[in-house]
Amino acid sequence: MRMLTLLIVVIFFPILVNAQFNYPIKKIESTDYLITYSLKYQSDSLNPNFIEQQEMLLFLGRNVSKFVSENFYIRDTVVRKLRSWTEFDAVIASPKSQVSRSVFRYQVFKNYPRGELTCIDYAADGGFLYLERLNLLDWKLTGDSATLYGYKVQKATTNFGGRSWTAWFAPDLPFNDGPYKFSGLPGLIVKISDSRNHYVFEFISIKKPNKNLMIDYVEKDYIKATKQDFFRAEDAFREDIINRAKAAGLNDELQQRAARNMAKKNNPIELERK
Amino acid sequence: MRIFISFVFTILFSQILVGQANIQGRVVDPEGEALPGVNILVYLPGNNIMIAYAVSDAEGHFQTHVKSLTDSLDLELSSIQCRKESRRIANSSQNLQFELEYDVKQLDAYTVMAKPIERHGDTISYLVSSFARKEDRAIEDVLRRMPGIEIEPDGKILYQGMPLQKFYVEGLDLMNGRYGVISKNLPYGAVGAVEVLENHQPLRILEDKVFSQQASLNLKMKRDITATGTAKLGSGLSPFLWDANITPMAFTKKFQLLASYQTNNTGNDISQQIKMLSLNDLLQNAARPNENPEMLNIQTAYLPSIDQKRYLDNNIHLFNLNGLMRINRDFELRSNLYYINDYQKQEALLQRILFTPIDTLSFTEHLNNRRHDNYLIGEFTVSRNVKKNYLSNELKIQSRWDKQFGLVNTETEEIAQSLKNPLKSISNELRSVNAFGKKLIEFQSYISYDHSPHSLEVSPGQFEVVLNQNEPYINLLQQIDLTRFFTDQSAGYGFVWKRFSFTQRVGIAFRKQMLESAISINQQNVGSITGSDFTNKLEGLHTNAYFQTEMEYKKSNFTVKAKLPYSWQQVSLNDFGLAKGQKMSRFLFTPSLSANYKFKSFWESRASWRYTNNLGDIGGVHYAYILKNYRNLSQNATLLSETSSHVFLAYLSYRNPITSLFNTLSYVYLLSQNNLIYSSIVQADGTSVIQATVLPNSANSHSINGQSTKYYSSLKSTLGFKASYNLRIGTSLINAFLFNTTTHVYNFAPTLNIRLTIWLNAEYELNASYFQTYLEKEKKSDISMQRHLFKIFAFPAKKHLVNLSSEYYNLRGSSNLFADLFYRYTLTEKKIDLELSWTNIFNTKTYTTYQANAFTIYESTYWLRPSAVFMSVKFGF
Repeated sequence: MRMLTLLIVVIFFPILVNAQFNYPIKKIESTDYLITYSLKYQSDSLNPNFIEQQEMLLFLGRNVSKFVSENFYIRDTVVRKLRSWTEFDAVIASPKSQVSRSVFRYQVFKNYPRGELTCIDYAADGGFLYLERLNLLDWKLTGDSATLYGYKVQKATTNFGGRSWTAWFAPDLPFNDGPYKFSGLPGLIVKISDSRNHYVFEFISIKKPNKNLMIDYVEKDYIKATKQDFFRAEDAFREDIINRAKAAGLNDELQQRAARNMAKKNNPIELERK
Repeated sequence: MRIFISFVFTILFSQILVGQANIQGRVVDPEGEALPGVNILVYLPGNNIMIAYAVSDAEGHFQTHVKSLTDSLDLELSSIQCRKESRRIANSSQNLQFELEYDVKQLDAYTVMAKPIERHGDTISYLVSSFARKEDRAIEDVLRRMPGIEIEPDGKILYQGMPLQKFYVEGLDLMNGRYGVISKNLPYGAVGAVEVLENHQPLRILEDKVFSQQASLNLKMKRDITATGTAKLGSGLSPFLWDANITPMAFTKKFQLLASYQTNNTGNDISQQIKMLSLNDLLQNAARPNENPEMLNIQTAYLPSIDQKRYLDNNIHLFNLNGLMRINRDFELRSNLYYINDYQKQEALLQRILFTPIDTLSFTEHLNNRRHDNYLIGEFTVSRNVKKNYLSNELKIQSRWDKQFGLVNTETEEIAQSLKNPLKSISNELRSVNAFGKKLIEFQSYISYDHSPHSLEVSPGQFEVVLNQNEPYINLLQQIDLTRFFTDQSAGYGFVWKRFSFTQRVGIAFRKQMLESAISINQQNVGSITGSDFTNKLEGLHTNAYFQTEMEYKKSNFTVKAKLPYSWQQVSLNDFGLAKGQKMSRFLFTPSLSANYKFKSFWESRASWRYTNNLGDIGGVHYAYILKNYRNLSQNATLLSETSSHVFLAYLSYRNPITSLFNTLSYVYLLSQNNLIYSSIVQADGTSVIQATVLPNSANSHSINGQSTKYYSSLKSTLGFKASYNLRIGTSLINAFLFNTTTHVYNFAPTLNIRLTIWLNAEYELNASYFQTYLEKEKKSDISMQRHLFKIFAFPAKKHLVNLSSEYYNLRGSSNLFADLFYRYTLTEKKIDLELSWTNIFNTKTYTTYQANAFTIYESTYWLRPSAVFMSVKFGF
């Protein structure tokens, strides 16, 4: 029996070793300014008492920008440094660690390719890449102005992804970018929130990176799909979590617990799924 | 007239009102090249309210519409790389050209507020008080809320999705990986701050050499000396049930202590927590002799494949003491002591059907077993962790006083078996990492010694024909005295070159063992020792010198991995009493190769081949008979077994997460060759004499396995099925008949999973199996089995959990229904958890399982734990 177990372990070992490195890095351009936002979000629409917070980063280049969560950025940087499988061995001990994360794993590249937006995101165990039109937001200026974080700002509103958004932008910061997929206002968006305050992005800092910081991404074999297909995969994983957890080898109680935890992550930033 | 004028005026005015000025144009640089991304802001003159804007596109074009009554407009053009430009224009549709000059202006770095969590290099510090809530109890509850930290249900802590490398309290690693005891039991109030050490390399010699992607966690206590703990008490009926756990602990910067006393009779096997084997341990320790030789045993039944808590009738006490001391800056001394006392009862009905070419035999045994485990384990570790080298030495001492008693009722008689299987063992493992120039070399040394004087007493005496001239007798006693010594010394290093990575290890292992055994029989209270056929005095030696290389090549979607282990092995066996023995030496090569290729988005394929070539365990040969259990008298007076096998695996998967369709298909072919065949001489009463004979033979098997699942979002249901077919062909020798055996196993299992609401889901599975056994082309058995499993999980309110699982099975014509209902209520108030459960609500008595091999079918009926109600409270102190 012991020998059999060993045999199985040895034969199936490669299944576990399915990690992701030695992939080429696609460099786009260098970062001129690095903006940090704070994101406060409510991942369970039914529980307004549980607000989580994360730092988000906007890398502004001359033509292209990249928007990611700071947690993702740190992890991505770490994983890129790994060079051999042995360094990754400790991680394979937890094959189920692929399952849901609290970190946002999306990377949004605006004006890449030109006039479009590239989004890389993860659903279940696969990386997806989809394109969207860049200027699909129809901003309305309201004429309201204020001073926020020390900048003179003006208010604009739009509808996106099934939520109505209010943005404050600063013409003195002469970019036309902002958090997530928001862009196209004549000045950096320093604050944007939806009408129910489920997602609130707020400006924290602007810095000029002191070393050469690239806007880049790891060129893995992403599944090229439409945004709707990606959402379909994401929703199917959420709804089918019990079976996915079972396939990962979790027992009955853990499957149920995974489903309970997943049920609390019911409030994606884009509510329009089709 | 006035009306007319006012009419004209109204028309004109409204035209002005709705009239829009269409302002468009192009922005270029001094060279005439288009400037994209320039902001064009439109203001009312003398006002800072923006009324319209545009952003220039890739060709530098822009366009905006202005609705305004004013005569003129202020236009402002701004961009990070150009000088700002303002122009006043007439409020009318027009086409404008702008030429902007480049300007290297710098925006000032600016931060609105300090970050809530401060970072110093690779260390992040979280203040516990700012994350704790009033309902929290253990530090784990607070950790769960810290950004980047996740806790898996089994207590494993992840940081940025990766498992923790080390869990320290005040910089000391007391529990060595079993940190759940601390994180689940340490009240959060004692902890001041949680430090996350990112990219933590616990071995200081590897710092700056081997990059670590894993983080470690350190708890900073509020006070210099902390004494705290938790307790859990539970009780239930019937019979009287208990479950208690008390865990006091104390932490300082130089000395730490954690004690734990746990006891229950609810079927929870807490001794499992001592066994903490990782995949690496399993692979690395494969060459070591089994920890417990277990040569003799009492008759037991196959354990059912259901939750152990349903059938385990135990009474366990576990004491655990962990201490850690920092001797000076570099040295740490740790000791972990365990004492376990467990009394288990087992009742089962075992039916065996045995096919031979001439007849079919059937035996029934009713088993009533008692098992008393009583053992002490001590682990003492000294480690030195400095920049120049790493050294860790672990000494492990084990003493066992285990006893087992079994009563077997067959159709004709009652047989009592009494087994004493004590064990004393000591082992030492030394590991060190040293730098030689730029290369790191790891040395490992393992030494173990154990002694097991076992005895098995069976009454009335068995095997009268062989042991007592066909005369019945009162009892027989099998005694064994086994001492083993094993040592394994090795050195290894690894390096990476381009897309290749290599690891190499060279070492030598040596094993020496002495086996003495004797059978004595007792007839009318006159004891006598049986002859030399039943007395072993065997010395075994095994030397293994090895050199192994592992290679890995990876290129985007393609990975190849090869293992090339060479070894030279020498075995010598010598029985001093019988003057028999053997000696052999072999050069063995056991390569394996695997390749993985991912093509397109959803497809993945894999193939591997492995050739193994093994010399048998020297513990397998004994020239005289040994009574292994009451109905198995065995002798292996042949050459050492030599086995070789080829394993080939092919695997293909299609996994599409967009349509939620997941399919896998695999095929495994196994061909094994053995120089020995084990033959059974089965006697009319079911006892058998087992002998090994030199007769090269081979066995092969083919397995095909397919699996498919699909999620239907409109029905909130997942439909799946598994199907497999296995064919095994081999040779068996029973009662001097040599025959071929062929077994076919078919399995089909469709499943349906429905999520009715967010708080209610149900699962159904049908598992249908079909076995066919052929001896020499003649069908001997033909069995089908069906199991229906049905489960419901409901969470009607936040603190309630209801779980109903039922199983209906149909086995060779007889059917049975089994159900388990579980209800849990959790009260979290005043830092006390209350749990209520009711298990086995229908008080089902037994559970039947079923196994088949080449020529035997086993049917085991197991007695279950009775219906029980249980309540428990958990609190901190």
